Amino acid sequence: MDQLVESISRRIAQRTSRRSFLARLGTFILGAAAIPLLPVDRVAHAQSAGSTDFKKSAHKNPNDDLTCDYWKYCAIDGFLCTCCGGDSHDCPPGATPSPTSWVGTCHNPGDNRDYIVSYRDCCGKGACGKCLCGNTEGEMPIYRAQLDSDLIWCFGAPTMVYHCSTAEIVGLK
Amino acid sequence: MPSSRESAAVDAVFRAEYSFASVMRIRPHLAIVALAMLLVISAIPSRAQLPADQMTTLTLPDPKPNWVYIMDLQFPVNMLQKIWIMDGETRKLLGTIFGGYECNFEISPDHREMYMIDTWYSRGWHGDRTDVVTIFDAHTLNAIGEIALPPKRLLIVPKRNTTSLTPDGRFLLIANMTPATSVSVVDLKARKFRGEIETPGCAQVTATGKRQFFSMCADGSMLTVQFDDSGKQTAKTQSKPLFDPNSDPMFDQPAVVGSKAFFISYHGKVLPVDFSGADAVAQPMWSLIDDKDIAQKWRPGGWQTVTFQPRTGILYALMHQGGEWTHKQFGTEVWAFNANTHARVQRIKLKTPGYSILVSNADKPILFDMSLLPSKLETYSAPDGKFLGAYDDIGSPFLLYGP
Repeated sequence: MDQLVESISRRIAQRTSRRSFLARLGTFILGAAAIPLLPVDRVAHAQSAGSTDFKKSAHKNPNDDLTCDYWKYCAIDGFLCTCCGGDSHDCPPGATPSPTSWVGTCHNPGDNRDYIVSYRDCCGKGACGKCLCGNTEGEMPIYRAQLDSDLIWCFGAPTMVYHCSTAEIVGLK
Repeated sequence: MPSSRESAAVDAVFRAEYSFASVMRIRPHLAIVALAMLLVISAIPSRAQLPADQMTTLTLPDPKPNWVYIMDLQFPVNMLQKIWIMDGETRKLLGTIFGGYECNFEISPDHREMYMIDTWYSRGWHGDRTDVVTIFDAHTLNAIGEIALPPKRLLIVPKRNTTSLTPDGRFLLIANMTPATSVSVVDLKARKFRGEIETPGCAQVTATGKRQFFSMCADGSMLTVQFDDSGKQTAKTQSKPLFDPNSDPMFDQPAVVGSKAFFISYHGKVLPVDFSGADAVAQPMWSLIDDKDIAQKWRPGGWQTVTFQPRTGILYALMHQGGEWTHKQFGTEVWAFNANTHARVQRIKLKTPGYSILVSNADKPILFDMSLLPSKLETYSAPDGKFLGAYDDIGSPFLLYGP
């Protein structure tokens, strides 16, 4: 778990050049220091709250990243970047990957393992409007922001304008 | 454009006059006949002419209790959102106002003004960000002023409690996330941004008193903040956790009446909380569902999932049958409960599964059921659930507000 937290933090640090943004992010995390707020920790809690109904519902196209059924998209909410000129973990041309994200845990039927997935928005262009998915596995209200997919997750990007959503594997659960 | 009948009459008169002039020279008796014909034609009464239209702009009267205000995200772009103002009794559209990216909406308690809390980029989808409160006259729907804000608004698919008005209408409170969380305090009387109150670890804002608001916190506690007329925080109290978000999260859009809020959970629990004091006080939790309902997988879900009618004391929840993590599934029924006895008093089967519900605060209350797909507003009498009618095609509607 610690490694995963470190991994996410490192990613944020690597991809963010705006000092003021890091300061704000620090406030966000420090402000909630008394409670388990770091994303991965909270994923674990959220998982304990849920059942495995979503997994049992059997993805129709678990390997097709142009559909909402793609296994990595179990908690994706928005337009799939794969339908917008991007890839499942790459932004379309002209859009900027957000250094921040919400997270989920998805089961890969291919290797029968559970992965932590970071849902990073691509920002800085108007909404793509294609392949809307609203998967809600593990999704939490705004008071648990890092598990809330309704937020515009473009913090740290050049603008807060949302374009599409990607799913990055962070590591095994 | 003249009608064909009017054209024919004009032609006839023209031809008659022409003939009269030529015939006069040769056959005077024919001229007399022609003159008579001309008189006859002239005597045919033409259709009464309509008065010229005088174009004006209409204004709205004071709102009625069954009016409803619908937030349309104008999906998928939602950079220019819209409020539809509708009479819930006649289901007639009365007007619209517009707002910016992920905007929020409020109506002043005296119904004289409306507010859009907006974010704009100077070049539409890029450029400099401006956050601003746009003030509308509630009768003319004209934008009559604005108040600049720090560009920190919580940008989220709009929720009712991203902004809140104090009951006296003096202060507008705006939730921020940068992602550090805080609340901007705007003095509407002075038309000024007064300052910012930090709410670390807690999100959103709901006014529950003249100078008091609460935010929901990540551990299931509530942060109660008091402030003064200068917009400065005077007290801040974080309660003990009132629920366990790990086992059963509460939806983040409770039904709020005065200083009391009714939260409902993913698994169908109701948590009434009294926010009248300096610290939030939870009242005993009760359940929307019994063992039979649980066996049938009934649970609440949607976007605006719970609403309360203070005159009757009835709480309405949007319900569906589904498994875990179906908290955004459209509701097929609305269940009505006596909030005191916790008895279910009605099950209303919806014609169209709903995403958001609102009950009006009227003598004859209307239950509004709004679907996103298809885009539709349905009205039912409350609490008996008699279907009253529907209005189609209201864009991509997410939220309902009463006057």
